[in-house]
Amino acid sequence: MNSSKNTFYNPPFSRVYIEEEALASPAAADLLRAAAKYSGGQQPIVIRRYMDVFGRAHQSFAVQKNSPALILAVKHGSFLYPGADVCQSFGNSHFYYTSFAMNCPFHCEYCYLQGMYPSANLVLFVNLDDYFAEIERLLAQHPVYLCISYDTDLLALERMTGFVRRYLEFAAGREGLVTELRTKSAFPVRQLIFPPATADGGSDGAVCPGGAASLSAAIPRTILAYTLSPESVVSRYEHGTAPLSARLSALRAAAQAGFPVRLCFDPLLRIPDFDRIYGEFIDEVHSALDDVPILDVGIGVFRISDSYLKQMRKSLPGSALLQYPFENTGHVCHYGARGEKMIAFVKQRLSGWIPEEKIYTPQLPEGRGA
Amino acid sequence: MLYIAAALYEEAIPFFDALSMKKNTSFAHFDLFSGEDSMLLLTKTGAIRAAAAVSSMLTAFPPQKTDLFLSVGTVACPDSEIPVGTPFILQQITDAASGRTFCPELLFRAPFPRAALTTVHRVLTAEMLKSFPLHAPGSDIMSNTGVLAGCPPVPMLCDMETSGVCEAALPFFSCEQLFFCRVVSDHGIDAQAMSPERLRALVTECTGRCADGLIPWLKEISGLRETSPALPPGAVAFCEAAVSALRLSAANAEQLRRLLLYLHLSGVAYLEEMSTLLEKPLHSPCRTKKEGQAYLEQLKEHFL
Repeated sequence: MNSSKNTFYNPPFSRVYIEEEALASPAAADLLRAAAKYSGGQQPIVIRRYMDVFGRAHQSFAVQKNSPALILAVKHGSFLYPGADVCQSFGNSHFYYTSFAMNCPFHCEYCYLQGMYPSANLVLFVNLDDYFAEIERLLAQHPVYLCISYDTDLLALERMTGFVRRYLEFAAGREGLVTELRTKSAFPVRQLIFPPATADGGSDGAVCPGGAASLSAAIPRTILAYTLSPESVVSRYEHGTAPLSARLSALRAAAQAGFPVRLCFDPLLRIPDFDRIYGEFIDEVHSALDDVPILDVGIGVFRISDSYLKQMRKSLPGSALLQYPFENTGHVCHYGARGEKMIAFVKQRLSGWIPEEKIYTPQLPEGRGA
Repeated sequence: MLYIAAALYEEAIPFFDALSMKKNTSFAHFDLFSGEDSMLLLTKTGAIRAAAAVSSMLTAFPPQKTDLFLSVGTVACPDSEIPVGTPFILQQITDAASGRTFCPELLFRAPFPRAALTTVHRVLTAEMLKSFPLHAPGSDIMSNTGVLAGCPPVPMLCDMETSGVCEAALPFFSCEQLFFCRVVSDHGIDAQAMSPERLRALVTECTGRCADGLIPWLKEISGLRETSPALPPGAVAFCEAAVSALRLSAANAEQLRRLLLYLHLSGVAYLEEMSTLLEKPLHSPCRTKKEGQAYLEQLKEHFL
C-alpha cells in the first residue's frame, strides 16, 4: 500500500457499527470510548444485527483491509467449537477454540480469514460473560484446552478491548482450563498484569480489581504462542504485524513473566531460496532464545481448504503466494511432498535445541491429488 | 467508467456540464446521457421506477471491477436547522415500506459529512416530516448514556428513490464501488410557497454544490482501483501451444496455466527455460496424455 492510498482511505476503525442489542452493554460502552480515538468523534452507526454489515453480499476483503470498520455485537448460538483437524492440539485432549472477535487487525497475505469471512471488518463480541458461562459448563464435565485467538489476534487488540485481561481474570480461578493465546504482535504482556495508568487515572485495559495477584494463578496455564517467520516473510507477507525482533523480545518478556511460551513456525511458506532463508531464520531464533524455556514448538506448512483458496485468489489475484499450483487432496490444498521436506528441514534445524518430543507437526492430507 | 443515477433532469444538469455529457439515443425506455468515461441515467421519481431504470442500464452496460457508481439527488431534511444546499454522504439507507436497511461502504475520506436516509413512497410535506426523527437511529441513546457525549448527531434525510437505486445496483457492484450522495433541498415541500420553476432551479443549485466536490473525489478513487494481473500475451500463446502439444486434460491445462501465472507473479524469467524443456513435444506433439502429463510433472519439479 503506498502513502497516497493511506491518506485517501479513512483510518482503520473510523467507522463503528453497533448492534441495537449491544447498546445497553457496559462492555460496549467501554469499547466505544476506546474506539473514539479512531472514529474521530463520529457517532456509531446502529444496526439490527452485525451480519447486516459483516455479511453483506459483494464485499471486497482486500480493499476493506485498507480501512476496516469496527462492529460491536452480541454473540448468540455456539460459543465454543471443537478444534479442527488441520489445527494442532499439541497433545491435549478436549481441544476447543473460541472467538471473542472475528477478523484480525493484521493482513497476512496467506491468512485463511480471507476465505472464511465475507468481510475484513472487525467484529468484537461484547458478551464475554456468556462465553465464560459456556466454558464453566464444559469444565464441569472435563478439563478444557482452549485456543482463544485463532480467528483474530487478541493481544494485538488488547489496548482497545482489554479482552485478554478479562479472560485471565476468569481463567485464574479455573484449575482445569489451559489456554492458548496465539499472536503475531509484540504486545508487552507485563501490561496485562500491571496495566499502565492513563491520563484519566484509569487503566489501559479492563478493570482488574484484584490486580496482579488475581491473575497470577492463570499465568502458568496460559500458553503464549508466538507465530514466527523470517523477517523477509514478515515484511512482504505479514502486513502490519510486529517485526521478528520485536516478537522475540516480547516472547522473552512473556517467559520472564511466567507464561509458558510456544513457538509456532506455521505456516512455512514455499518461497525461493527456502533452505537458506528459513535456515538462517531458525538459527536467529535459536540464538535469541537459547536461554528461554520453551514449552513446545509447532511446525506446519501453508495448507488451506480449496474453497477458501478460491476466495483468497479472487481477493488477491496478484499474490504469487496464493497462485502457487498446490496439490489438492480431499479438498485441502497443500505443497505435497515439498511441504513434508520443508517440515523435515525445519525440524532437523531445531534438533540441537528443541527435543523431538516437544515438536508437533500437523496431520497432512495423505495421498496425492490432481 | 463512472455510472451516475439521478431522479430528475434538474438534478443532473451540473453533471452534464462537468462531464461534457450528451444524450445517448441508443438506449430505449430511459433517459441516458454519456460522456467520455461516464454515463448518467435519469430514473424519474419513485423507488420502483428507479430500481427498474438502474437495473436496465447496468444490464445493458455491465460494469467492470474498476468502475464506480454514484447515486446523487436532493432530499428533504426533517431538521430545519440544517440549511438547504448541505451535501451528505449516506451511511445508512432504509426502505420505509420493507424496513430493509443497507449500510454503504465508507472506506474513503469523503468530502461531505455523513447522514442516514429513509426512502418513502410519497412526497413529504413539512407537516408529514415532523413525524420523522431528526437524527439517525441510536444517536439519542448514545448521548443519553454519556458515551461519546459531544459527538454531533447524524442527521436523518428522506427521499423517494435511494432504496430502489441501491437494491438495483447492489448485484452489479462490489460494496466499495457504490456511493450515495444527497443534498438537502427542503424541509418538507410546500407547493403553495414555491413555484415549480423556482423548485427546479433550487434542485439544480443544490446538486451543483456537490458536483464540484464529488467529481474530482471519485476520479481519485477510480485511480486507486486495480485490475487483476494476467499472463502476458507471450505466455498465453506459449500456454496454448503447450496444452495442445502435451495433450493436456482440462485439469492439467489449468495446472500449467497456474504454474505460469505463479512464475510470472514471482518475477521469475521462465519462458525461455520452459521452451527449452518442452522443445521436443513442441516440435512433435505427444502421442498420449500420459506422456504429456509426465512433461507437466517435470516442469513442476523443475520450477517449484
